[in-house]
Amino acid sequence: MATPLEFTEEARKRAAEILSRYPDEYRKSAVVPLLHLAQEEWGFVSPEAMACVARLIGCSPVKVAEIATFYPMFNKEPVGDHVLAVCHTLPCALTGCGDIFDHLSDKLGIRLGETTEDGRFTLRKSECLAACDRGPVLLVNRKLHTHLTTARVDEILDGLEEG
Amino acid sequence: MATITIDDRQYTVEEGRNLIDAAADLDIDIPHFCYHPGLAPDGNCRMCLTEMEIRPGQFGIVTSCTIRIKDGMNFRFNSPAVLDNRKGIMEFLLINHPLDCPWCDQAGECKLQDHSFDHGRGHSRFVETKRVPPKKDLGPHITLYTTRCILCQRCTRFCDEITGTSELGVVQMGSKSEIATFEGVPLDNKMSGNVADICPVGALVTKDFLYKPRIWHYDKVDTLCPGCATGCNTTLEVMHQKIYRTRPRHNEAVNGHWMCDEGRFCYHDWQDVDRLKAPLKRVDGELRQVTWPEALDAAVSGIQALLADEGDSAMGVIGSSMATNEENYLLGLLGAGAFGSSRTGLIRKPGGEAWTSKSGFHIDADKTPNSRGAGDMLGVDSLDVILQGIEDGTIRGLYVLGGDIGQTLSQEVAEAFRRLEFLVVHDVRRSDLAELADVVFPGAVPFEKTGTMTNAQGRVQRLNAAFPQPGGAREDGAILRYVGLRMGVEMGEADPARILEEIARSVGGYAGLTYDLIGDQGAMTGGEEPSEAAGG
Repeated sequence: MATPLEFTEEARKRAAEILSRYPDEYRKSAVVPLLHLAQEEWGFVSPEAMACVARLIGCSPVKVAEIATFYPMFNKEPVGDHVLAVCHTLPCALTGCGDIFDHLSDKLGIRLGETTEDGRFTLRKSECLAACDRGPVLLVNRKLHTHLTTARVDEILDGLEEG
Repeated sequence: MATITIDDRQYTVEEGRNLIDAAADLDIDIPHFCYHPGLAPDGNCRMCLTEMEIRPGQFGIVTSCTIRIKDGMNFRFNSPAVLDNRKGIMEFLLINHPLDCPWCDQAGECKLQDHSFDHGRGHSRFVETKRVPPKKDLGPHITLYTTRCILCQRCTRFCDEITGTSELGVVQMGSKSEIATFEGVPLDNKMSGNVADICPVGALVTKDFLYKPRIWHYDKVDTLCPGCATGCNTTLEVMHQKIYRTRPRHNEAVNGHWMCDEGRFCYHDWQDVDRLKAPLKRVDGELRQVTWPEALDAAVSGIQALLADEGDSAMGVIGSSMATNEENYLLGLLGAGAFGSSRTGLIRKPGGEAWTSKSGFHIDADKTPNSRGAGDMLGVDSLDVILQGIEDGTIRGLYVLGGDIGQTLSQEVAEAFRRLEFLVVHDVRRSDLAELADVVFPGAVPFEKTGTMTNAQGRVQRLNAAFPQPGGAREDGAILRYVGLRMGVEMGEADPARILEEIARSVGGYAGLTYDLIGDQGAMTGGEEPSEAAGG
């Protein structure tokens, strides 16, 4: 394993604040918020980041890996500035998520799981995002977009380009 | 005690016991994968579901492993709902299972095989492609055949609850879930071999027992681990006078369900030894191979010459922490009867590392199995008397039980032994001790002996020979009797059970002990059971 990672001074303060929410004997409960913090800090959750979280909550690193690998929203590899996740569960599939995905794939020139060369976008599929009545839906970073059409997708991407 | 009803029949069982164990006491098998009596119940495999009356006349499905027996409970083990569930669980478990029984090392002792036979269907309805995740090297002793794993998590719980080392976890989600270690933190603890024992399928295997002959070809012999003074109860699997595997045997007062890796794999050290297969006699300064009668004559005439010259007590005896209580006792008889000497000694091996697991499983610092018993039989726990005797010239000959392959003589002891006029040694190889001797008798290793040993707690336990000694080697007790007979000492029949009766009459603390009483779980010296079970 590479050299151990440590949080920056600023992140350490936030980690301390997160840990303060839990009684000492339940420090391990802080694993998910600390993994979010790690992802904010380094963009993705590497094994070194998992080990860093494990040290903070005082458990074996594989127990952090169990959690981090369970949740798809923790990135295990570096991702682009914007992560686009197209829901591909049944209701979205019936409302045309395949076209939305293909459109994004063609427009950005990347396939499932890939990141554009300029490092701006990563394209993914997602399981149900709990908006079945408004499909197809797309998760852009942490924001959910519903009732998608290819034109609407272009608008969203343009908005991101400007921002 | 509690009275419960199972399938309309009443039984009396221990209150508070979990349902799987309580049923097992009644010889009723509740199929299960994730429950193990040495671990906390987890209820994840769902195989042990049975029906329990939750309101009068109304039954609900419950996990047997988490049910604690209370008086009046009413169960159904064979209702349509229960049987249907088992069939369903088996079908799910086999979805991604490779069914590679023909070359799987677990075949024949596989829960998945057994339960599939009893509760599964004869054909698969699964037409999709099976997942084939690669096998993983988890640590120095253990390989994971990922495809065979049913995710019962006995192994992860073992590392959490018993060793406390937590190297194993379940990573990924859903059908992609796998047992894994963390990068750079392999499954490398003092008890890692146990995960292969408790794995109900062929997923976790020891590298030591990979691609070995089928498990039903072995003879199983219940005995003790010779690795340390804890005296873990073990079962050896042997074929053609060779050990293929050592597994722990349950004894709650000693080792629980476990044993350490050092003990589990130590049989290799013993099997790799270049064994003495014939007696040796010193001729013109060199040890030469001779016949048994020649060696016995040489030993007896050497001892008699010394005694004639010096009178009684010119000979001392040294016992062995590798020998059984009975052998050390016979040595004491030989010393007192033939040599007229009560001067005894015991060579203490330098202590190794002691270690206690999170659950209380203990590896002793004393790396010999019977120093306590040998000491009890000979009434001695050091070499002081012998070394003093050699120093002041009153001891000029010694009769020494050797047999510890891990032992070398200290400078001081070797120097002292070199000054002896006559030295008789039992050993299993040409050790540095044997090289100093005038006569060497080829003895037996612990796997070839029958008798009792006393562990560090003071628990007397039975050792059983897995196979005969190689070539002309003999059990040390038999050799002592040969020498005794030639010197006119009556030692009685060689049967260890009879010798133990004699020990019970004459050695303090052993009163009342019999072979039958000791049984397969041992019995405490002094007649006292320890207040707290030490097993992990």
